[in-house]
Amino acid sequence: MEVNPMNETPVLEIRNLEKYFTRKGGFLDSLFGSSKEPIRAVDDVSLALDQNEVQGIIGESGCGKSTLLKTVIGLTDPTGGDIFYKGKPLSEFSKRDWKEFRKNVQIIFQNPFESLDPKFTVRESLIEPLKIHDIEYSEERIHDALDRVQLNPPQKYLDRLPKQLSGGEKQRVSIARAIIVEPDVILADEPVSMLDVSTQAAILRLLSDLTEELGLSMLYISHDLSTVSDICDLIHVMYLGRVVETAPTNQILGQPRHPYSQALIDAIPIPDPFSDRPRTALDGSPPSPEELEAGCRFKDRCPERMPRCDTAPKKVETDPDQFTACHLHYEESDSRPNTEAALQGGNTQ
Amino acid sequence: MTEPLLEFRDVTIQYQTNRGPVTAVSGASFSIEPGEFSGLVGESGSGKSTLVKSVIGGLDSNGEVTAGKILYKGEEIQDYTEEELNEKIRWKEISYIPQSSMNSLDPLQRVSEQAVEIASVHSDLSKSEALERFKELFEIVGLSPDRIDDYPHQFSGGMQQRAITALALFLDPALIIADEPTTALDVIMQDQIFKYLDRVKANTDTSMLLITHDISVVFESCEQIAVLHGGQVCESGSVEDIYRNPTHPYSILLQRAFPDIRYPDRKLEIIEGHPPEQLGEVTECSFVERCPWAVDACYENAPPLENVSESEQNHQSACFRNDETHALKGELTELAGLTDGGEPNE
Amino acid sequence: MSLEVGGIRSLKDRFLIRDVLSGLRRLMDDRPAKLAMGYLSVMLVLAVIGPHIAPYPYDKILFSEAGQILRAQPPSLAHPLGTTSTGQDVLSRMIYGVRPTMITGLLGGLIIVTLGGMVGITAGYLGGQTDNVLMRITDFIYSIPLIPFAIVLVGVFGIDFFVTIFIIGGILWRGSARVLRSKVLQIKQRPYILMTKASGASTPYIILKHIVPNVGSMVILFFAMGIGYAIIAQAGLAFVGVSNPFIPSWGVMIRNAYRSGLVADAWWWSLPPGLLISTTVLSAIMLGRRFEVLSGQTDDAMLEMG
Repeated sequence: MEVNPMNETPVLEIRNLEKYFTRKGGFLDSLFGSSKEPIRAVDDVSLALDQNEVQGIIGESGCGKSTLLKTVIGLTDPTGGDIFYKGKPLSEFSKRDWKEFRKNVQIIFQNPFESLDPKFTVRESLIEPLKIHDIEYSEERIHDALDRVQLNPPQKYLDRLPKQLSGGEKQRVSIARAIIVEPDVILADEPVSMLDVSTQAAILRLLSDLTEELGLSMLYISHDLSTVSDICDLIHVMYLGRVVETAPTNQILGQPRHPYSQALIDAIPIPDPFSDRPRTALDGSPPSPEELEAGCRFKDRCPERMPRCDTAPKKVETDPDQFTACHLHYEESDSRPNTEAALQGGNTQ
Repeated sequence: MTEPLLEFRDVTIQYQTNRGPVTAVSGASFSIEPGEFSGLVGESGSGKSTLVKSVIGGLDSNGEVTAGKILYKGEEIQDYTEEELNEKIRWKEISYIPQSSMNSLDPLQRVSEQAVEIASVHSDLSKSEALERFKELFEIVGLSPDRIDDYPHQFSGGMQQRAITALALFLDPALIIADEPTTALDVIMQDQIFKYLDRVKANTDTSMLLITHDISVVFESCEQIAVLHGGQVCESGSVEDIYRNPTHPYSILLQRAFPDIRYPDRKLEIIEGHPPEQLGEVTECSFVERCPWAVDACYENAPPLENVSESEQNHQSACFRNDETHALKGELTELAGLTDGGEPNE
Repeated sequence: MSLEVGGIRSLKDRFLIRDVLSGLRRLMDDRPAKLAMGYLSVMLVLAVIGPHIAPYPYDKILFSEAGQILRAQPPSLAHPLGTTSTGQDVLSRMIYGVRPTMITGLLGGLIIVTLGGMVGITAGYLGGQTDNVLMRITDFIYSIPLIPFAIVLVGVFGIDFFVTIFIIGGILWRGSARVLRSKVLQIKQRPYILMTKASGASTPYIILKHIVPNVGSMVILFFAMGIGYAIIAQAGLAFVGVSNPFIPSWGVMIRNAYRSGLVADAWWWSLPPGLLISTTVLSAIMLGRRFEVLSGQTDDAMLEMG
């Protein structure tokens, strides 16, 4: 991970996070005592989010990015590793710490059509988090929040129900709801993927401006690399529960080192009839997370597959600030330590 | 010029609601030539789904083509009954790939059984001929032919989409209508589907109407494009012409709203607002409320589709300021990689 | 501004009241709902004032001018629905019967939906062991046959009008518990619930503020259906004799007609209570159904009950 120049504690840090789902075997299994391998939805993920930094987590559906998010916000408990908020691990949180955390870390969901209670007016949706956190509020604060998400004039929207708002407007209300308690961190789960393209850019720019203005940090989750360039400083590419590559946005778009990042970028359609982009060389779809073999998770679809891929690759610094977990980028004899592990001071794999 | 395969001529479609008639499509005209891949682009609320339903049947019971004609091989089909559509059009002539492929295969039947059933209802193919043909198609769409006897749940989402595509191709239709075939899929899966649609294009003489909100896939995969906004066709023509010389303000802005991975630093254009819901007759340009260059005339009438220039065949745009938009475009921020009306990049 | 910040909200800003009001408004625009509502309103009025407007007391034995008991007289101007075999005015008995029927329906429906709602929502939202225990209890209640069970209980507690209603309510909540649980299972996965949870709201808060309002239309549907089912169940119990025979409910009337052996001959006596039971039940269920449809959340609720 990036070495923090100021040597400050990151706002949010994830170390070797694991979320395994144990599967209940069927009746016969329990009879014969065979136990099933757990589903490794999130497997050894580490990242550190600094103040006012925006990081993206990119991956296809089923790669574990949403599970990661739910774990980070404490909606499910991790099965391994830990999450640190301002240096303190969630596992050691007191009740008061949790309350603080719940106020300071807010989440925005993908589906604007379901992220507001259909029975709540905009005003009620905005007041709710303030009430939960016993924050004194004034009409002005509510207006101000709507103002910030460019719902003008606020009076026009305050008494509307979600069904009286367009998709983009709903997503703006969700954002207003998240920022009204003045959090430090926003977790955004594909906030634009269900919106029309004409609105997408507007919401992205709004999020980008807000993080700037309010000094927020953000973890932005998406399956779409083409929309994140505007907003993310750093990108993690995730495949089947693991982060395969981490790099600053422009670097990952310009010179992806992991074959999977390369494939993701190559598959993005280009709005230009004259471009001769070849279609993707990848076949098939990711294997089900239930039947993972040892070694690199991408090996079965990888055009560069080698015998070495049967062992798990370590993550090495392939370029400045760019970390790639792929055997292509180091020799077997390479004695470089697993960079990430070294930086985290932990051991992986 | 040959006769178009499918032609919409001034089609208006209205839904009767308790608030009065809602015009979902108004005066839409465009056509698809034999062997051509054509894209119909619009955001939600543009009327694109309504337009598709008017061809293959399935308009809601309160919806009706109230004016204009839909011509298939020269024959008016807008008033066809269910029986007529089944007998003359569906599967044999026009087949349909729905958006949610997951729900359109019968979960209790093997995929091959569904193919045989379609064959027995709509063609004279014997069972073995049908299976033989189905295997060939599985090969084309990139599925292993020995999987035709699988049940739908044994396929992943992308594979189901391909199985549907194979079914759609089954009776060698002249036209396939694909309604957002890849919207629910990840980029790699989407690209795989289009890889096989490219193959369909190369190996058959089937035409395709691709309905999508994504102008990028149309630019990459189609020859012709029609841009729909608020039930009106704003602009239509070859993808090259519309890429190089978009003339309707909506197409100009829409093109600039799409991210291009080659230019990550591009500042994307935002189109404020959303398509209007048209109650009653349409008497203005449907883009007027969102258009940065609207003038009084735009509120008074709906602009007709007119040829943009003599050099560009079939390139039509429906804007009163067709002649000026080229200059107006200059007000927008310059976009890396988009040269103004000039030569293609690279 | 209708809302004083931090201060007192005006009544119409309470979303529950807002919901009910908008639901009622929509019902008023709907013909079948209006019909059902009109019918039920008449019944409610009759339940209150019935005994005052009935031409005769329900238990008054009528005599002809010649001094004979008017046994099983067919309808006439003086007795539009004729008389019973013991010389009572059928119309008057019908009107008196509205009150016990409405009480049975409303109280029974209330018990059904309260028990069912509490069990279903708690089980659905809390999940885990709580869910397991509550659902096994529900399954157990499902295995109880209503009528034999009621006969046994009445044997224990004695024949009492209200005991019958409690028995009915205590059994028939099972259907609404099951359906509400599955609905809550869906709702609790919705982003707005997750978001509220993630911002630190307590479980009771989420249940009261988000879950209950969002299953509200279904709760009302089950209340309406509960009214119907309670009335039917009560009539059934009355018919087999497990109900206080001195309270002139419609079920008791049918039973009396049947026991007199005149069901077929004295149709004016046996038919009207049956018809009224059907129309009342139908109106209640239709009203609930329309409310659910009109409040726009038709998941085609599995109308499982009883």
